[in-house]
Amino acid sequence: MSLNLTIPEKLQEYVPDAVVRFRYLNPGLDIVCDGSAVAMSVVPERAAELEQEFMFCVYRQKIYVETLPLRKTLLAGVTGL
Amino acid sequence: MTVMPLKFRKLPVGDLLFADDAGGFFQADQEFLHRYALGDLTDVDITFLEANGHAFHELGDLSYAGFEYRFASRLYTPGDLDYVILVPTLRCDLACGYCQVSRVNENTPGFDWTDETLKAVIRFLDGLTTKMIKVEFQGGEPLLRLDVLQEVRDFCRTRFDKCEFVVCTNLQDPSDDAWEFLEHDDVFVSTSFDADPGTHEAQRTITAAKTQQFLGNFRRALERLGTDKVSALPTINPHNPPPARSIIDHYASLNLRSIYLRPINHQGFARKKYDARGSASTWNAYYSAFIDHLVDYNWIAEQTVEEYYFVHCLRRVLRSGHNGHADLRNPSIVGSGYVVIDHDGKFYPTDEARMISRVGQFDLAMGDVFTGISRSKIDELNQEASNNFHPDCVHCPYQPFCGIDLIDDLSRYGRIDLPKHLTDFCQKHTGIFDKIFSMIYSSDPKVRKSLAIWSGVPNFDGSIGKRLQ
Repeated sequence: MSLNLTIPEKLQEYVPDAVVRFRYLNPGLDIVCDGSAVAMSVVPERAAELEQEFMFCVYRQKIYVETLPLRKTLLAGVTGL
Repeated sequence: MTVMPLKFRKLPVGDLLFADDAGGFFQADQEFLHRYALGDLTDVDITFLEANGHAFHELGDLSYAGFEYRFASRLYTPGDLDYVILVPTLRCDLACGYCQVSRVNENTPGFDWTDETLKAVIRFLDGLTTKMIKVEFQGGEPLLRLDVLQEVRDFCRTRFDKCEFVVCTNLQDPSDDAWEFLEHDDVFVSTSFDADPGTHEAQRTITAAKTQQFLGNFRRALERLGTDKVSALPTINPHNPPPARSIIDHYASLNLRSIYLRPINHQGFARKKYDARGSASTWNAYYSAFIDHLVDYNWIAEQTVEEYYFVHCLRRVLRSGHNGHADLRNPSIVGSGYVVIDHDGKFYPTDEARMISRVGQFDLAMGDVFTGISRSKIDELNQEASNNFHPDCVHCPYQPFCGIDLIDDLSRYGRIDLPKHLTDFCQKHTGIFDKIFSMIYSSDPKVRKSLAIWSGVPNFDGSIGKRLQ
């Protein structure tokens, strides 16, 4: 079946990187993204799980990008690097 | 207010476990994740995050400084080189099928330190700047070279303010002189007892006579040296493990209260004889059940029992700076705090590094005692020894408690860039931390009793397992 997701506007800029990571975690899965829409071919039994897993990838990517400067500051503060 | 980066993982019950980079953790539902990711936190969320050290107002304020301190305390910093593992011989009087160091037969020549090697080792020890030294004798069977052990011990006692010696012996056939050596206050014994006599015989001693010989020596060691000076660990075949209760009962009957379960290592002879490379899921199931058996045992036992590595991981969750185990550190800097000197005088950064060098997979030697330590190869490896910014670990809530083991990755996969979740190290540690957090959030009084004992507190009332409602 085709699983179609519409990504909220606040998250759209993180989708391309999230797709890359999702593919890395699920090699062989057919997934395409086009703007705010993401579609993937899945077996019905795994649809809910994969939808959640993909959204986790998007969230994680957003958290990672937004907090990377803070993490670098933190590390520099304790290591001097 | 700024929230420190939060990593999350789905729990079996549907909620999520969140943790920050300093090891602060809590449970929350998926609605919180949506609010956090989209920047729509409620007043309740903000109050909770501030009260529990996950947020700050400006760089350098008290909350930030506290977090920075906790973050720094989680990082391992190698100290002076004050721990050496010496392998005076590869010869052994047992022929265990799972031998991880590829030992040689007792009478095989050419696998012992020469006189020149011994002198060079002494010169190396003499050049150390530390005032305290821990020397671990491994093999082969190190007691086959008691003369070397005695010479190293005598030198160290004159050279260092404080010494500790650990002899990793099979206790199969110690001579009278060996017993005399072991009875000194600064000498400790580490041996193997594979669960119960039947398993020990099948995996190590092969004959009933040799099994009885070992058991006699083992009991003698426990009686004469005391359980404080003797440690024993069982090596477990994950595909054919002994019943958990059998191990617990046999160890407890010998008054051994700490059991360190070790799955057969993917090293040495075990690479060919056992399917030890991809056994994480089988091992995790056994290990989790073993912990459950311990919890049941401890509920009614007068003398409680722990699984050593589980307790180590639990304490890494509950407090920072718990870096005493070389297999679980971050960053996992090798070749600094301790080194291994093999039977031919070569330096290795870890025991596992000498093992994979011995089978010809990689040469991880870092010089030898004749020409000195060569750090270039190890320094290159150490550049990848942190999990903080690893593309997989950076999203994992267990990252602050976990470590990294590049040598294990090299051993199993021949590379260090495999996705972490596909590695044995990650799968096993994810299993351990899943178990720990399921217990931290358990209200079962049996579980809480064992957690209190293992974490060293009078009561484990569950308040440490915070939850954002």
